[in-house]
Amino acid sequence: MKKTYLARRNALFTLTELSWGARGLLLAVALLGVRLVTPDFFWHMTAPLFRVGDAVAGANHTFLSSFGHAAGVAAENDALRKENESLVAMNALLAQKVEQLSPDNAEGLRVKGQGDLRADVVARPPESPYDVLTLARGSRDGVAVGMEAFAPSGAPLGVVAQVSDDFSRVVLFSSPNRRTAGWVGRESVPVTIIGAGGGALHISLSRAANIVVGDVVYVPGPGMLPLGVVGRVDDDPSSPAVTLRVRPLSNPFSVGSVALRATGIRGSADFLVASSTPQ
Amino acid sequence: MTRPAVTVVTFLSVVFLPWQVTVLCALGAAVVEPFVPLAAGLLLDVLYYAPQTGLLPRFTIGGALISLVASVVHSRVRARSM
Repeated sequence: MKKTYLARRNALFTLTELSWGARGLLLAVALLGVRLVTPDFFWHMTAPLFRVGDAVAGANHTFLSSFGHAAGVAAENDALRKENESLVAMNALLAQKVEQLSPDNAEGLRVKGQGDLRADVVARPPESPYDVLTLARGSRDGVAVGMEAFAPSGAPLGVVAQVSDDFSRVVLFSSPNRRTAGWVGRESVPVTIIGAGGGALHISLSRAANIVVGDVVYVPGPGMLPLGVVGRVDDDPSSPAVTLRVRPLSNPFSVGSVALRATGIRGSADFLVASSTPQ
Repeated sequence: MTRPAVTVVTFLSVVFLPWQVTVLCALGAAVVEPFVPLAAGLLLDVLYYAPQTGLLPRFTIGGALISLVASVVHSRVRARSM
């Protein structure tokens, strides 16, 4: 009588039995464990990868630009755009300061850059899908939750929401569904600025406010800080409200470093209760 | 050879390419490797998710749903081809 033999199986799982997808899943779960148990070690481990990713993204941008235009023109365009952002931000800031400049409130003004803490950006959008910046500075360097992050142009970007020993995370104002109280236009109309992800922001406002393209949007800080300008007004004739599409003064996709400053804003809750009166 | 390639490319895209590209890679990979969308979604959230944004870890959830659908389709196709 012929006997049938079944193949002997190892009682333990071996990697060769696993599909590639399952191996990837195991790797992701292991990384999740490392992040939860030792967040600093995790960021030290992944920061070099992000830096390589940054270099690759920069090279891709130059490569793709070279198809339509010369690489030189693209680089010049980038430089001019950054300079323009910086000038618009500075202009708006100065205009605001001139309005505030009276003997009673001059005390509130401060020199730009004074007491700032510089931090390199490790990860940023568009690789990061939640509009969060990961910074290579942590509590050891003096970073604290609630500090405000500013682009090199001086435009506010977001608020530090999480800090570990050597790294920290800034949630951008453009983070999806993030609501920030602020003001818009020459009349400083109080509004709620809503993040739409990917660096975009929008505001719903009554048509009667007469906000036009080019009006500046402000967020609280020491005084009113220019966050962006109204780039488009979506006007639906059947609705009493208009939607303002806000173009940030600083592009979070290209921010290499930020300045961190304790502005007295402790967290998102404070942004939500900002009054219509400029501080 | 296709299976390891799509898995590795999807994982590399998480770090080196915009997340939209990762989503496309994961959807493509689901055709041959049902677990890749879940793994890529989890990796995206491990690297970038911040609970302070007040959002759910949507890439893990989305990846799990796509992997579930892909697994069901795979098992049906396998059963039919037997």
